[in-house]
Amino acid sequence: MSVQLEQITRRNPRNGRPIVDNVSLAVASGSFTALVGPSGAGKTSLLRIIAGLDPHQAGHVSIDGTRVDTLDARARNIGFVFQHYALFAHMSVAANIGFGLSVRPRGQRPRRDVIARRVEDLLDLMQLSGLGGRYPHELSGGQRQRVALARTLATGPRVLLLDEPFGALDPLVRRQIRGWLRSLHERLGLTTILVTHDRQEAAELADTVVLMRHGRIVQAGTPQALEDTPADPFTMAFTGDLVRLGGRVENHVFTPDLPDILPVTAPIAAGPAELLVRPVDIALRPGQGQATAVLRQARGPLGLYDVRLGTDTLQVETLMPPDRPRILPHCALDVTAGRLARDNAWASVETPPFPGPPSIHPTGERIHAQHS
Amino acid sequence: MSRLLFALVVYLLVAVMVVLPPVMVFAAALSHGLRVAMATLAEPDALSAIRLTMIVTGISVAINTVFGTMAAWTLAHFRFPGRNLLVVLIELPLSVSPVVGGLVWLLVFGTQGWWGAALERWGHPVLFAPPGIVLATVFVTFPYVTRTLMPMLAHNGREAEEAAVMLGANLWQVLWHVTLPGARLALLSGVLLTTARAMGEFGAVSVVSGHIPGLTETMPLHIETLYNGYQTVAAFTMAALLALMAMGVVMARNLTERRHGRTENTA
Repeated sequence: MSVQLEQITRRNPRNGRPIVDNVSLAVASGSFTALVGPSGAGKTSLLRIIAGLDPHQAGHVSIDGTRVDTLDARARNIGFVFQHYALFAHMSVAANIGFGLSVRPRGQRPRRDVIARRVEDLLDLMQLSGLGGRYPHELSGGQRQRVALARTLATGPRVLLLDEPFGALDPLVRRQIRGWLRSLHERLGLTTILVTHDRQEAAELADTVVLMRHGRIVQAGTPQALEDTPADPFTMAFTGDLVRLGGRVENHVFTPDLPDILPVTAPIAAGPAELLVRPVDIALRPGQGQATAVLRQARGPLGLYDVRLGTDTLQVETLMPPDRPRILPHCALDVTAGRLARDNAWASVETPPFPGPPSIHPTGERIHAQHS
Repeated sequence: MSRLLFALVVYLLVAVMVVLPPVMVFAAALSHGLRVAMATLAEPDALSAIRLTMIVTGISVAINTVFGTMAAWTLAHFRFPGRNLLVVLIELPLSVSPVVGGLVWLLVFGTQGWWGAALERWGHPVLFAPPGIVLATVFVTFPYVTRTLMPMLAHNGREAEEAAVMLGANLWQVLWHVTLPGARLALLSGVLLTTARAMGEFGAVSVVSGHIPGLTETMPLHIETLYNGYQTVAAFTMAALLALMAMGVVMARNLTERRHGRTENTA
């Protein structure tokens, strides 16, 4: 089932400020979408609007092309897993899972033994066999999480909404349940929307990542697209590690304030600007500067280097030369992979048409290659 | 050392202020032996007072449980203009003297009041009759169910109720299967508190009852009548019975509270 959001706005009932601000989003049937962003970005609010738990003041929610704005939450056939599971403490695990079936109107309610069998199947599916008679407070966090999921799936919803479902779990259990959730999504043919503030979790699970901030969607796309072509500095900072370098643009050339960073051409007007680059995208150019790079840690073929630039030290993660030298003298940094930001301007940069060898020379010798 | 001293002072205070009075009551009741004491309870007026107290308590508790639950649920779930004022109003009986509560009913239903004369002519007087006693008791015991239930519903219940809605439950199913069972111990505690308070109410009931022995006297009122009539043994026996009933209810409440504390915040 697909979910379409058209220009959804929800205002804070107390002060009228928008919590969700003119959000449009198309979620394809069978896709796995992650809503990410800092806390207070409106992710959970948007999820609750889709579920019908919170009202919206403008816009439309459609499921499979049918508008459901006026449809009661209970009639939307959407599964919702709450952050703290919201299990019924006074009911056994089996009664929790069977609840959705047992509250159906008389004509549609399955027989008692049918419900019991469905509960057993779900317990097996969730790897909870034999725990049907327990009570929620007797279970571990990971087990409660799976009971909550089983309870949600019992009524056969086609759309599954998950609000920070892994927040309360320890990291190891988290990883396990993540992989298992993804396979469950595939197997049951669900359309899943997950809220998380963990970008790695989002990237690992989702086909589409939707980054939100201040109630708006900043960027939506594949995890790779968000990381490679971030729409603005915020997205870039949210989707990965970042080094920020201050500097100035003159004649379309950006010169960083720190020494031994190679200038880059920039398509923005003259003035101060900031260059954002991922540590892993910074290349070391031996023989082109005065900086010394000291290997701090080797990570497979990559090396984590501390580079001393004037009074600052930058950490650079880059491909090591084959002889893995501990110290690389006379280096300069190449930040061509970075992006330049000033106010609303946001541009990729290029290697300027002046000297600069393509990469680390294996021997670390001083060489003066000429580029044109 | 100082800790021991404090404990000693507290024990002494409790012994003098809390333990001594009921002991004295029981001693006075049994001063002429158990048989004499029991015989006073078999008097028709005494039996009538016991019966009236039970009936009034039962009706008041039922009314306050239903409406108190509704009030607690509404206040815990909705934010609306005047909500805070409503909370203050519900708590009013806690701070206002019960006599004032009784006088209010006197103004509304008294012969000089709004509807009193009409009801009198119709043959269903409210004042100086059991309905008035029920009204007075309901007023005095109104806050207890709401007060014990509201915090519980506000903090624990919200997500579970939403989960039930998402699973397709309607309002009544949510209330009946999720909200009330989830808060059952808090509800029971509130009901028992209401019961204890309703049984012992004197001030408000005294204003509206008319003190007609055998007809409109509850146990506390009958105790006063007996005492003023120098029937000491009968008065103290009735008092001892009332004290026993109240203690039983309070003890039951403590038991539920202890279980309550154990199973709270587990899911």
